[in-house]
Amino acid sequence: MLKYLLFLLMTLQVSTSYAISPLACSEVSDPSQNIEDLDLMDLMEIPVFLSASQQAECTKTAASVVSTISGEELLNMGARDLMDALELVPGMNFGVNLSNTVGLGIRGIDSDNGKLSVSIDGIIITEQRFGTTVYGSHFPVEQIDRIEIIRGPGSILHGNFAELGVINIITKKGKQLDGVTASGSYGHFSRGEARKNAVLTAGKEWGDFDVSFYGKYNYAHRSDRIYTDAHGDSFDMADNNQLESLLGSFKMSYKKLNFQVLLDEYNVNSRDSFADKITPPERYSRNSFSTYATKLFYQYDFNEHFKLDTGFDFSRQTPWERSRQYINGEDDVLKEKVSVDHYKFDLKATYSHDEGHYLVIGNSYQFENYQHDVSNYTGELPLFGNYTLYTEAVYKTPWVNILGGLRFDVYSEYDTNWSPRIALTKQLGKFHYKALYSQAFHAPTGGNYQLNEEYNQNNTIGNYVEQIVPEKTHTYELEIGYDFMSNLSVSANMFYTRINNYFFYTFDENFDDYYTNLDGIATWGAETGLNYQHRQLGRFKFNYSFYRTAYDPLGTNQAHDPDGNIIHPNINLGFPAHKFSINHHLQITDSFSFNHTLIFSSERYAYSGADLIHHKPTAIYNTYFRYQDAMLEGLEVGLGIYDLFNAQFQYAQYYNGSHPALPGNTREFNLKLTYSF
Amino acid sequence: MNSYIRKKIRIYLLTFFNIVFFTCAPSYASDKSMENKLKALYIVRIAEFIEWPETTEKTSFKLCIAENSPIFEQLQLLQIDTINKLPLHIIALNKDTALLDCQILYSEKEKAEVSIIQHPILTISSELDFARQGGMIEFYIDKSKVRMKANLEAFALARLKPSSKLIRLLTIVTTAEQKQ
Repeated sequence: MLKYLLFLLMTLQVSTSYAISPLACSEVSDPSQNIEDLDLMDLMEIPVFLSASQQAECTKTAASVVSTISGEELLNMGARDLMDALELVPGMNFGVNLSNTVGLGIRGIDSDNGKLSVSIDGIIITEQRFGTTVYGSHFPVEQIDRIEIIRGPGSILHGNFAELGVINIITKKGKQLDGVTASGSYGHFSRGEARKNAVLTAGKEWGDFDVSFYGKYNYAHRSDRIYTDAHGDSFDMADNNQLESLLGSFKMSYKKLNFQVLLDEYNVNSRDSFADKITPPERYSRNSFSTYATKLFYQYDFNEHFKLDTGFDFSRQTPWERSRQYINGEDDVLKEKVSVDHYKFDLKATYSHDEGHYLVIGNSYQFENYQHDVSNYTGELPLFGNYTLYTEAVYKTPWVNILGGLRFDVYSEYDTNWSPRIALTKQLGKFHYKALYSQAFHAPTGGNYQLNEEYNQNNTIGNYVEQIVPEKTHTYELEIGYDFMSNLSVSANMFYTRINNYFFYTFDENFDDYYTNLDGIATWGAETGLNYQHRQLGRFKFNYSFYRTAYDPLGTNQAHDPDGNIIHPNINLGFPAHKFSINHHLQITDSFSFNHTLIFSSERYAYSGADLIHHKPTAIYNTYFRYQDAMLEGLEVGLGIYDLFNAQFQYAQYYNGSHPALPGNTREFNLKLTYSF
Repeated sequence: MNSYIRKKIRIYLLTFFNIVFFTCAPSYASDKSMENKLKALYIVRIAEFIEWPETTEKTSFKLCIAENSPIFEQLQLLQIDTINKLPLHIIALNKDTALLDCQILYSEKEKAEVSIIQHPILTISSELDFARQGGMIEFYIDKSKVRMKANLEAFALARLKPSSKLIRLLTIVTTAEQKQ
C-alpha cells in the first residue's frame, strides 16, 4: 500500500500534461503550445481577453481531460499518419483487431464497437456499422491544424460513440493555407517498401469567403516481417500486405455558413485472416472501408451572448467490405458488402454571460439506414433512429466553475436513456484542477444487431443468442496541474472507468461469431505529462500513463493459463500497463530542426490460437530532420528514421480472438519533399 | 469492485484532495499579461518585416524600452535571442541611454522623440494617437485583438521600409496637422 502511495505522490510532484490554457481556447491553434511560435498573422488572431462565447468554449474544453497536438508539432516530428500522433497521447495504445487491421485502446479498454468518436472537422469518420476506426497509413496529417483529444467520455455533446473518448481532427482553413502545397514522400523498411504518397493542399481567403482543399493518395505496407499463425504456417509480409488510402476534403465557408465534403477510401489486404490461421498462398482477403460525407453548418449570432447553431450531416459508409482476391488474377469474390446511410439534424442554442457562465440547450435527430448488397444475413434491418435532447450549463465562482450536463436519448430499437455529467474545474493563476463525473450511454449499432441475427440464422449448433442491450459507462476523473515557470508546466490525473453491459465479441466452437453483454469491466489509472522549453536545449514533452484492471469478474479481457487461472490480475489483454513517451524538438537554425521521440510500452499478454504469448517491453525511437526553405523558398526536405534501433513492435490482439500478434515494421527510412507556393 | 480496490481508491482520492486544497493558494492572472505578451511578440515579429538602411550597424539588434514597462518584463520572460538572425539586446532605457544606438524604441510617450525622427529607429507605442503624432507603429485593441496603426510618413523620414506583407496588416494613418 505504502509503495503505491509514494508512487502517487511522486507522480503528482513530477508529472505534467497538456493543460488547457485559460486563454484563447478557440483561437489559438494549439492551446498547449506557446504562442511565441506563432507568426505575426496568427498572433493577430489571438484575443487579449475572451469574449463571453469564447469563455464558454474554453470552459467546455477545460471540463475534460484533454490532449492537443498542433499541426506544427506533427510536421516537426515527421508524423507519417495519425498513428504517429496518437502514440504520443497518454493512455492510448494500438493493437491488432483482425485481418491486418489495427485498432486503438484507451486506458486499457479497446475502443472498437463504438467506444471512441473520431471526426474530421466535425464529420464522424468512425464507421457507423460497428463503430470501429481502422488505423495505419489511413489518416494524413499534412492538412491538420490541430488534433483535440478528449481522454474521457464526451457523450453529452459528441454522441453515441464518445463513450471513452473523442478525437477531433481540425484541418486548416484556406486563410491558413494561403496558397498551394504539394508534397510527396517515400519510405523503405529494411526488407521492403514502406510507403509512397502524394499530397496536394490548397486554400485561400477572399474577404468573408474561405475555401480549402486537400487530397492524399497513399500506398503503403504494414510491415516487412514474417507473420506466423498459431499453427506454425507463415508468410512474408514484405511488399505483401498493402494499405491503400485516398482521402480528400473540400471546405468552404462564407461568414458563419460552412459547407464541407469528405471522401475516404481505405483498402487493407491481408493473408493473416481474422483468426488463428493464414489464408492459402494462392489468395488473400481485402477489407475496404469507404466514407462519403457532407456537412452543412450555420451559426447565427443574435448578439455577443446568444447564438444558434444548426447543422445537417449525411454520410454513406461501406465499412468492412470483404472480398477474396486471387494471386493468379482470377476474378475476386465479394463476400460481404453492407452500406450505412447516416443522417443527422442538429439544432443548438448557447447563451453566454459576460462572467463566463453559459447554458447550452440542443437537440438532434439521427438515423441509419442499412443496405445489404452481399451478406450472410437474410432479412431487412430496421431503421436505427434516435432523438436526443441535451443541455449543459456552467456557473463560475472565484474558486470553482460548476458544470452540469444532461443527455436524454430516445432510441427506436432500445430504451430511453438519461446520462448526467458533473464537472468542478478552475484555473487559479498557475494552478488548475478538475473533478469530473460523466455517464455515457452507448447503444448497439446495426452491425452489432445484424451479427447476432446472422448468427441465429446460420450457426450450425442450434444456438440462439439474444440481441445485446446498451452499455452504460461511469467515469470519474481528477486532474491537477501547475505552471512552475513560463516554460515548465506539469499536470496529472487519475481516472476510474466502468462499463456496464459491456459488449463482448466472441465465437462458438465453430468460430461463428456473435456479441453478448458482460456484467461489466472497469479500469483505473493515472496519466501525467510535463512540458518544458529551454532556450538552447529546445522543447521537451514527456507523458506517462498506467492503468490497472479494476473489475472483470469473468476475466474475459485478461490472460489465463491453460487451467483458467488469471496470469496477471492487473492488466488487460493486448495493452501495456505502463506507457511513456518523450518528444524533444530542437530548432537548430531558423530553417533546420531535429526532432526525436521515444515511446516505451511495458510487457503485454495476448493469445495466439489457444496459447498465451508474453510480449516483452518495447521502446521505439524515431528521429526526424526538417529543413525548410531548402535551396529555394518554399521547398522543404524531411528525412526520418523510424524505429531507429529496430525494436520491431508487435500489435498484440486486445481480445481473445486467437489471432497472433501482427508484426510491426522494421526500421524505416523516409524522405519527404514539400513545396509551397 | 472489491473492498480492497475501494479502499485503495479512497486513499488515493484523499491524498489527491489534500494536495489540491492544502498546497495551493488562489491567484488570478490578469488579462493585461496576455495583452503585454502579445505586444512583446508583435515587436519582435514586426522587425522581421522591416528593412533598415544599409548604413545601419548589422552585428546586433538593440531594442530599447523602459525597464518599468510591463512589456519589458514580457520580453525578458520570452527569452528571445535573435531578430533576423542577429543577436537581440534588450536595453533598459534610462536618462543616459543613447537613443541613436537603438534599432527599435518602444515608447511609453504619446509622441515620438523629436531627436530621433530622422534616424533609422523603429518607434512603437501603445499610447493613443502615437502614430498620428509622428510615431511609426501604434498598438490598439479592436474587438479584443491587438491591431496596429502605422504612419508611413514616419517610416519614410527614418528611411525604414516596411514590407508589403506588413503593410497589409496595418491601418495607415497620417501625421496630424500641427495646430497653430
